Amino acid sequence: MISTSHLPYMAPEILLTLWAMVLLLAEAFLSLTPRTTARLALAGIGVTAILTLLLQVSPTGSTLFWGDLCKWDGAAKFFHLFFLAVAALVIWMGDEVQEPVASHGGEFAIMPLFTTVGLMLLASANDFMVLFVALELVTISFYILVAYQHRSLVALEAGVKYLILGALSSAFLVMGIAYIFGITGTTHFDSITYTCHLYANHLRALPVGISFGLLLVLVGVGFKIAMVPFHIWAPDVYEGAPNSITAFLSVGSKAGGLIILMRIVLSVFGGQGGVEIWYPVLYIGAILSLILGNLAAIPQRNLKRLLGYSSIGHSGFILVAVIGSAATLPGRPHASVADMALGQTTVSVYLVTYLLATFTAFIVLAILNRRLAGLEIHHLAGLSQRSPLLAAAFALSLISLAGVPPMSGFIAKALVILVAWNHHLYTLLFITLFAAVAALYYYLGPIKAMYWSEPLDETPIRINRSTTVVLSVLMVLLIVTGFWAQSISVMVTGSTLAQTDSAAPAHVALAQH
Amino acid sequence: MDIAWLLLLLPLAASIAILLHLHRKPDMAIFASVGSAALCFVVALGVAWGKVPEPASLTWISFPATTMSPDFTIDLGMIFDPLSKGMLLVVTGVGLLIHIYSIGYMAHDPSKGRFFGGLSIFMFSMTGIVLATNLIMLFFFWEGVGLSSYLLIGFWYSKESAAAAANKAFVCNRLADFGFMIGILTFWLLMGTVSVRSVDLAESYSSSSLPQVQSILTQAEMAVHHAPAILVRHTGGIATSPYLLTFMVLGLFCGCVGKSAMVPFHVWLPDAMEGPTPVSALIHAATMVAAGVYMLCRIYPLLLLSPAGMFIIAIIGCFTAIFAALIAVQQNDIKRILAYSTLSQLGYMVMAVGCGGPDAAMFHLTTHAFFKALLFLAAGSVIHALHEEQDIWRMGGLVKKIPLTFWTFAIGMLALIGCPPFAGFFSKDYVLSVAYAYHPGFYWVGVITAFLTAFYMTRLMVVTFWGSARTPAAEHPHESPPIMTVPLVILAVLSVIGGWSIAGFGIQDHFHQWTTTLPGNVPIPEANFFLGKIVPIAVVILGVGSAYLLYWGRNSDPLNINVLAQKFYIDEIYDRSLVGGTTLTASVFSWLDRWILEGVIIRGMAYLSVGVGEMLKLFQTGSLQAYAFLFSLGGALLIYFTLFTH
Repeated sequence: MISTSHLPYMAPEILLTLWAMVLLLAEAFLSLTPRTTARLALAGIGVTAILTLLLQVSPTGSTLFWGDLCKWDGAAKFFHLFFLAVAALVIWMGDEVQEPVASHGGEFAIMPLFTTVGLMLLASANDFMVLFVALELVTISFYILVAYQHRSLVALEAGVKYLILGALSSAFLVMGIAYIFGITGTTHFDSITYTCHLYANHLRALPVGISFGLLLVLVGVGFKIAMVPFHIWAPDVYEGAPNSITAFLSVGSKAGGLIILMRIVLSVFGGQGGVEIWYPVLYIGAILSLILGNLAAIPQRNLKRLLGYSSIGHSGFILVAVIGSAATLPGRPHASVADMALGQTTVSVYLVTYLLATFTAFIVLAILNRRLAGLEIHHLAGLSQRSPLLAAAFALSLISLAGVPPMSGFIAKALVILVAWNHHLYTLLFITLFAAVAALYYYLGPIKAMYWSEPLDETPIRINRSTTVVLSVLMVLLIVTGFWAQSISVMVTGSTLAQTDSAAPAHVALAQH
Repeated sequence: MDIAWLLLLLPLAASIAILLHLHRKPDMAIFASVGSAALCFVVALGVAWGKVPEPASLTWISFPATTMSPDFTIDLGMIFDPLSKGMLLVVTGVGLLIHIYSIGYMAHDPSKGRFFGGLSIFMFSMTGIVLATNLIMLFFFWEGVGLSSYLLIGFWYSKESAAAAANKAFVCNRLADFGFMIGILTFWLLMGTVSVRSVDLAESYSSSSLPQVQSILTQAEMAVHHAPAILVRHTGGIATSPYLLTFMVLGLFCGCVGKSAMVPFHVWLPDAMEGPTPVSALIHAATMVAAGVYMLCRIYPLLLLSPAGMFIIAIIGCFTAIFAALIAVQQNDIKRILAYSTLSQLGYMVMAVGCGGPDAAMFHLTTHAFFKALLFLAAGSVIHALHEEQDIWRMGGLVKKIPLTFWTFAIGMLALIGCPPFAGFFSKDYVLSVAYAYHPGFYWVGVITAFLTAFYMTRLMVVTFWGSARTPAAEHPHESPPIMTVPLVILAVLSVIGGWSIAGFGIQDHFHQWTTTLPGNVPIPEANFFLGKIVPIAVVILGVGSAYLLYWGRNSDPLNINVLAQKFYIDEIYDRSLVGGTTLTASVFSWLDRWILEGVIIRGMAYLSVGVGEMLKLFQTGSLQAYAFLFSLGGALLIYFTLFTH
């Protein structure tokens, strides 16, 4: 089944896994310093990224590989690179910016590699089995990372909450997969698509078993992307996890949930029958996330909790774009290929701008964690006098998250609104606008504290050179991608799912079963 | 990569380098800034001679076409047409001269690195305005010149008046730019494009859908005396009312009102004289304040769609011209006199646009750039010679002591008052003839303004340069170094010959070309010989003569018109009404914020979330169980509502 001609497509995952194992052993036997381990891990990510860049997307849109269990398309490639960039920033943060989180510092740089392998595999999964295994790899390595500072009670509590709720969501997910398998007799995406197409044609609806399975899967995925009402873990876990891991959860884990969500709702269940099931769920989820995420952030005083709620709100914005990428929505005209591509590109653009702003914010928080008495808003007072660079970076990232022009976040929000407008989703459009305006209120609070409050302690905060460079680059990117939106489109060009023709039987996959 | 991009990249690179790194190394900063200005001038010459081709546009923002909306792209590009080429030469040429002059003028300032950084930001933004292909790009650079103007007015920020002047300029411009933004959005809405290329403008008439275009056209024809040919050709309709078009035109004009300091937004410009004198010359006399006029000429074909808008533009320009000239009569600060004179001349230009003569406006803009930059630089030389003295009544008797400054100042003054054969004579003459063709009323106000101009400039000359030295500093002035006087001489030459072009000395075609690219613009027939030539010269002689008789040999002002000296009390009125009103509004909003937003909504949300938390405690003892319960409850509710309620 496994032919060597498909080996290149597996190479990023294989290479990174091997490299992580080698590093684990080397760390154990050669007594590498945590810094060396982190540098080596970063090198591995660099090589993997180059390799991924070299893997072309087939002109037909997609290549099935590894016994058709995986699929290489524009979205897979984009998300591979996205996760590698996230992992690089996480490992760099853990090494340079934060205080050592525990005595075994080296593993803190190696675990994210495993998480990344899981995330990359998620991005190209074309079968529920692969999807589940990859998701568990991600989740289990996150359990470890979240609770890494297990001597701290807050961290321990966060770890336990994440573990138990994560296990619960996995249970929902695997139950859903079981139902889908039970009715269709397959876990392969293309085959499920075809089966659903047949059901929709002959029965005008999906069997209750498949619908039920899909709903359970959506619950599991909703947990990953912190969609209301499956968001409850987010603020507590965000607060307790080390800063770099909070950023990882907030960007990497969310993006991982989104790519499988997009594959499931747009491609596997994107045809008639499936849409009727997922559309109301995502519709309600988007509205609730937009409203609750953005309003509940307003009274927050702890910056990490604030960003946690804001992250829930951002899930709402992205969900609007996901809904807007659908080929067909109940009671609405069929969307054109250009409309669908616009929706999916919007998700990519949103994630890129969200990555830039979120990591800028968390790098600043990680630095401040050591220097300030706490991470409440009032601790930021007068930061602009103590470190102009940190204050500027944090302010720019918040302004971008708020979506104020000309920052990159504005482009993303503008696209989301355009997508909603395109699909006549006027209720969503209105709520999106409302949420964007409400969000301004809490994003501006920390900026006010940094620039217009007198500092309690006037000692300047010094930061090392590499942090200065990374923060400056991120700030420039935040402005440049916002001001010259074309530069972002270079990054996301072609980052769309391969078009699946649900009417054509997926004969290869069917033949297996 | 096209060479033309250097026009933007060089000053940008210079400003970034200076602001990030070189501001502590003044010599390097001067080298970077002046070097970039010189290279830009060379490229601009290449552009003017057609050696440098127009670069291909870069895509700046693009939205793909979808079911609901056509594709929409905003470009970053450059327009090279006679209008922009001429303006580009003025901006880079005068800019270069003033850069050179500043080397001498700022020689002893410790933070001159920062000064040159600001100049480079200005050159970058101003070139961007001149070459912008669309209104969004133009607006961006528009804000860029606003920023550099703010930074340079407040250059001596430790001086309270300078900081206040910078803030005033900033606030006035932001207010006006809000209107400009609304104008741009309306433009976009009506025309479906933001491009300002003449071709695209003409195209938008035909592609958009105005049903009443015919009636508007006839109005436009009646109003501006010459039929916009392009409009006549495209009789396809644009679906809107003349009121909406007027609204758009006035919105766009708001930008000009702020930047070119038309009444009632004129108050910032005289205060802006707190900045260093080269800044006053470059930004607040020759180029930036003229950007409003340039913008109007750029979108001129659109203005034709709204005769009412044109009329309002003409009225405001005309009023500013005479209003500022009256105030200038009773000012005592040499730079403020020149500032009010600038306002008055800008009024002429705006009036010319409103009266249907964009070519006259651009002609006057060009000659004005030469002689007003010259006057400011020469005034700077006087101030420099007298150790920062700006009150003309504390000068006197300078004619023999600083002869070069005197002669160049005199040339600038003769050009400004419109004495033949200096540059200002021809351009002012042209503006007046355009005004006469529109309505004789405008012509007569222009003539009275010309009289006032001759009067206050003669007053300035007589009091400053003749008579006896009134202070010790004025007894022993020293002539400025060559690095300052050479730009003066060059500008003086330009102030003499700059106007001959239109009178038939070779480059008339060049100016004439400007108008041919504007759709439907036909050269205006000149007023008759008596009104066109005799009257303007007569009022100049009258103005010079009366000022000479009044001021010759005086040591204090024989006239004492308080309302003029106090600038019609406009600042005081604004202070009482606008600032007071704003404070009142602010306190109302502060109350709303504190009691309604913060009190009811925010606190309400906080209590709500606390309340929800309390409710959860009723369900479960520990939070984790509550979370798991809620999670599962959420899942159960979703499944119930999706599957079982159809």
